Amino acid sequence: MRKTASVFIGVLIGALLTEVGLRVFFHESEATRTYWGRGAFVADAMLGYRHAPSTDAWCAREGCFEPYPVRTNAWGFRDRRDFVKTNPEALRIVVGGASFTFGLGVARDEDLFHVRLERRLSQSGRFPQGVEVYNLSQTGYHIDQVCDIVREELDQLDPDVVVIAVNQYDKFLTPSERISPDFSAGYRLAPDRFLPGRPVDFMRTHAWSWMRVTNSPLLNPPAWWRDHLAFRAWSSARPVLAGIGLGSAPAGGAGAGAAVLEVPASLQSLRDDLRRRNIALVCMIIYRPGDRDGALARLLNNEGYQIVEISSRPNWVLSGDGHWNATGHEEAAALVTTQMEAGGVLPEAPRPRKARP
Amino acid sequence: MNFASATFFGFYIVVTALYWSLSGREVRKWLLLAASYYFYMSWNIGLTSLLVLSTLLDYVVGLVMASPRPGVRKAALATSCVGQLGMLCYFKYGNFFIDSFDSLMRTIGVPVSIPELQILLPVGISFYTFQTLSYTIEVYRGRIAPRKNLLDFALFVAFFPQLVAGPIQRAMHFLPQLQKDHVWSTGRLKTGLARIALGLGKKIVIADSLAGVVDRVYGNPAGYGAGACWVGAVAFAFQLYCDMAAYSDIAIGSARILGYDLQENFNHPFLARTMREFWTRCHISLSSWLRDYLYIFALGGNRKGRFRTYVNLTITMFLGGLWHGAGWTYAVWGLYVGLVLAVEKLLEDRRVAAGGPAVIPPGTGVSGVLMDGVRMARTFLFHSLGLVLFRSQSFGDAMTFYSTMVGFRAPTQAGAFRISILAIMAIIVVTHLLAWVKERTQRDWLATPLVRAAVLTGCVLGALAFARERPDAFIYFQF
Repeated sequence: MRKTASVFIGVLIGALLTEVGLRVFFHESEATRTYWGRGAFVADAMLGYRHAPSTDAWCAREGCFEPYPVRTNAWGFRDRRDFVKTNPEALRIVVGGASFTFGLGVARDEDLFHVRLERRLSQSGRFPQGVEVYNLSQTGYHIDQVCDIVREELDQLDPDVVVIAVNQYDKFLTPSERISPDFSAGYRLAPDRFLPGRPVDFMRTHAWSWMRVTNSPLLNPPAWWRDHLAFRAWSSARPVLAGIGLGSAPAGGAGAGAAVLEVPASLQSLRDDLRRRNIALVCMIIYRPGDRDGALARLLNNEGYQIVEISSRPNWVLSGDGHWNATGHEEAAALVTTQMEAGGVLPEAPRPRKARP
Repeated sequence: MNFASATFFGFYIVVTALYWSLSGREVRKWLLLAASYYFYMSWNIGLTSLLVLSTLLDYVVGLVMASPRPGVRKAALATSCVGQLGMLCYFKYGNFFIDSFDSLMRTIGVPVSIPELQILLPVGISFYTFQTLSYTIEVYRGRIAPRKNLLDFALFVAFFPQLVAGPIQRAMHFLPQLQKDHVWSTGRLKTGLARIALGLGKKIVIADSLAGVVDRVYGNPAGYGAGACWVGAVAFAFQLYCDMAAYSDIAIGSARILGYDLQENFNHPFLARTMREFWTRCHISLSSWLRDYLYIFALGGNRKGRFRTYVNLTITMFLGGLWHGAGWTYAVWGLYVGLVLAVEKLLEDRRVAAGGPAVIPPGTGVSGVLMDGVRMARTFLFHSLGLVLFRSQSFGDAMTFYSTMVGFRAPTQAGAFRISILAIMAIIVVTHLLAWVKERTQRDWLATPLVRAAVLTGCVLGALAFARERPDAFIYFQF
């Protein structure tokens, strides 16, 4: 009994020391993190956290942008529109993404990507019934969370087109292609999210050890397999076997290097859902310094996704930060409009919908 | 397949599960041999043939040595040495010799152009070569009987936990274990896992964290000030120790779960009060190999007079330095260590001649303890200063580093390290202090359930939290 108690206390001390150690060791690398005012986020059972509804929480990033209020609507999105009072006849586009499309660092709502995109599409005159672009972006989300939150709003918004912003931090990319090890998914469940709620919510948002351990690459079963000789042999054999009619060729091109880049299951599942509902899906590749050879676009193309590629313009960003500034949002909207129109992504007319009571 | 990667653990879990689900000693050995070759082939399939060749050569040599004729035995030993060391020289030192010869000829004004060899350095060749050589030398000396079972011998050479970076096993220690029927033991599982956790902590939390500072400072020694270079030098000593000790811990722990005991490789080297003691605590499997087979067996040790003893020490460490890498910086580092050992031996001989003890006993009382602390600091200083040569890319870099350490250069660059790196280094100091308390008082704080649980929890959580997608390779892989 005494030994068990000793071991238990020892484990607690070890966990505490790890937490302290992580905070000491990574203290400096956290210095430029984004600061959010209290109440900016709420816990979410499925998504981990999300922006709190109807708030005016301030946001700042040291050395990058000054504090400014971030206003969310009653559904917790950075979109001034009421999601219920929609125009049933308008072309309806939903934008899902993370901090870029959310507009991190951009103070004025009218400068945001979705507002600019809506204005440009409206001005094109192609949709006289009107165009509505809804912003479902949440800061810090990875592709799984983005897909989940979009799926959650499908019934309510019933869009014609869903635009998903993808970047190199998403699970598309092999971990080695991430720029910095600090940008693990754990880091992105950021320690600046002050959440109330269950102990597990507290741990996943406050305990650095919890965040880093639960997202450790050592606990990533696919990685247990990827570097193996057997995997390399299998990757080399697959195209050959496919050539003689046995099995299918690997996604994203031949070779072991390409095989580790794969479309996440969450996006595939969202595409299937949208197909059933006859909603178009567009993947907007927004930022890819770790993907210079265009492997992400190639992969999505090969897998039959419609893409718009706007990642080649890195000069639209905030000073000291990689996010789009107001010009970036405007130019992104311009490029997306052009590419969507040229690529035949947009439907001829909105789908018929019933007006809400 | 890096020991500190998820890939290795995936492999290890499958092998261990299969191993213990099979019954029959021979079947298990076949499994381990297949797993070992698979493990090796994960780096390079082609170079596995070298491992096979090395194994077959010494297996046959061992059988030939069963002959009672001394001439045959000697010829067999010579064949083994020439064959094994020839392979090592060709693959590890081929281009080094060509470059050195080329430079020499250019210096004396006779330029020659010898094309470089297009060869890869086979991973672990330095380790398995020494391991098989220890077998043939012991068979030659009659200390062990030649192994007739090729499976046993092949597994002794290729056993995956220690194949690529040691600890270098002695045939006398390992081969008898292959004759045993290993039974599953929860106790061994616990201690093995604990050892693996310690190793992961040392590698991922300490060694890899220090690597950033070391790489920065050694990458541009002229750019930093004296303080940064001293921190860099100390950090590298700690990094190297943790990196090597981590590999050994994971190897020993992995083997332990499979029922095998590997020889210990480290015993808190920074507690050493002399350089001689240091080499009995650090990389024990290599230093004892060099002592037994090079210093004593090949060079005659201290049996040929005092002067030859000093020379033998110097030659042994010079070759030991060269074993670490194909570069003159390694050789000069080895020479430096050899000279320090020779001077220590000279002073020891004088002390003994004056009626003093050969080995200074641990100090008692406050002054004695302080004196021991000073001796430890002095040994650490000698070691760290020598490692500047070991780590530098060239003599020019090493000289720049030394001159920066003594403040002859003004820094042009700031931010060599984060202050938190000192916290990482403090972990090593604290663990050594605890080990020192244990050595002096027999009180093992680390063995108490509370401290043990705290340390292991810290190691596991720390390793998971600090882990990176692409972990740094172990330093000794390159040797």
